[in-house]
Amino acid sequence: MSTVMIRTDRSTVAMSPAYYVDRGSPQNRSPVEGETLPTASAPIENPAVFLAARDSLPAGRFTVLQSWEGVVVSASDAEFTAILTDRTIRENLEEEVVIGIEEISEDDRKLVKPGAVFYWSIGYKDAPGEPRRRVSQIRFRRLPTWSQYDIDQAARHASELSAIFSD
Amino acid sequence: MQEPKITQDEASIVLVGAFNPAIFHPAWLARHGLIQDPEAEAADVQLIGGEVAVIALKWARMEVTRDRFIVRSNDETHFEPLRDLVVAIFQLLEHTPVTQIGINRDIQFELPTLDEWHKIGHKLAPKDIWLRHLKEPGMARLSIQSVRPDDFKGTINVSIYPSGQKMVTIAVNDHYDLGDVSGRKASEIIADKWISSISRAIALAKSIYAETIQ
Repeated sequence: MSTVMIRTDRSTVAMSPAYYVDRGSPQNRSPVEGETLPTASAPIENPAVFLAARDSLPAGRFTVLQSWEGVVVSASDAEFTAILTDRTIRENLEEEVVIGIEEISEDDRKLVKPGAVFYWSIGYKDAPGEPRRRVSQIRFRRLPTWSQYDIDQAARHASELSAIFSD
Repeated sequence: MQEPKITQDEASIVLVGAFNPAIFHPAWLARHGLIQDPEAEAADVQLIGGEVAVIALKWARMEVTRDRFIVRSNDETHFEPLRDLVVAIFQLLEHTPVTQIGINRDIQFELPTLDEWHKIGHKLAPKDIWLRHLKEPGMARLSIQSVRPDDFKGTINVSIYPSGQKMVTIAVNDHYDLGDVSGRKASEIIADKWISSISRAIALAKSIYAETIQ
């Protein structure tokens, strides 16, 4: 495999040895066999797509003190019970906790059902021009919504399998 | 030794294949339940002639062109949601052809002193040879490539470069050459390999940091 050396900087994401993407330059295209990519200083004809620079990501940093992955085991309108696995200290034992529904953002509340997975992080949020804040953040895992068509298809498939095995 | 000071930590997932940028829109993501409705409403969207889609969420940025899908986040608390988002998208777009995957993590460290900062360059790229030919040579970027530790085709690529005064970034690219697989298969690989990939990246970066400033 050939290795293409392209001068890159902090705004680079390496996709493969031959597929470096320099978002700050117009060279973000893949080399084809036998092609020599322009060097950083070479004039660019028909520049390819410019993608945004890395600094377009939000400034600041969340320093995680502790984080868990949780699985909901039961839920009511006011609270839910979950099993937590420590992701910071993986040797820690699982814990069962009860969490008030008001801790969950409104848009995630519909996801609070037995079996649902969530991520809980506690840490410091530092952002430019803002005082340090201690933050507790819970976010539920989101999976594709099943359409009625998908559900019907799955039911039909289950019926067919059931018929095969009952014969 | 004191715990290294990490000043930036970014994870990204890159897929190379054939994509339709026009369908990537916050409303589409929200309709399928992949992001919250308020996130979709607050998202910044740029669509450029059906050829490029850029979606900026508060915690991630997605950039899609005809041949490339990139999503990245510098919010460590959202690394798992980042993975979930990509896995879910390509479960939906299950027939999308995908040829390569990159799971990347770029970690920026701040060194306590300038001397220690220079020490990294001196240790990784000794100057003996260069000093005979150049005046004040310095390491701008060092890239190392290795074979994969599993049965997939591809490479592990590590780059180390100064990213500011007393700053050094260690970027780990976990690259998979897949040939030609479906979006669903790609999503399964990402779901399966994510944890080991980003865990390996942070462990590797911390080890390299520790060993070079010794």
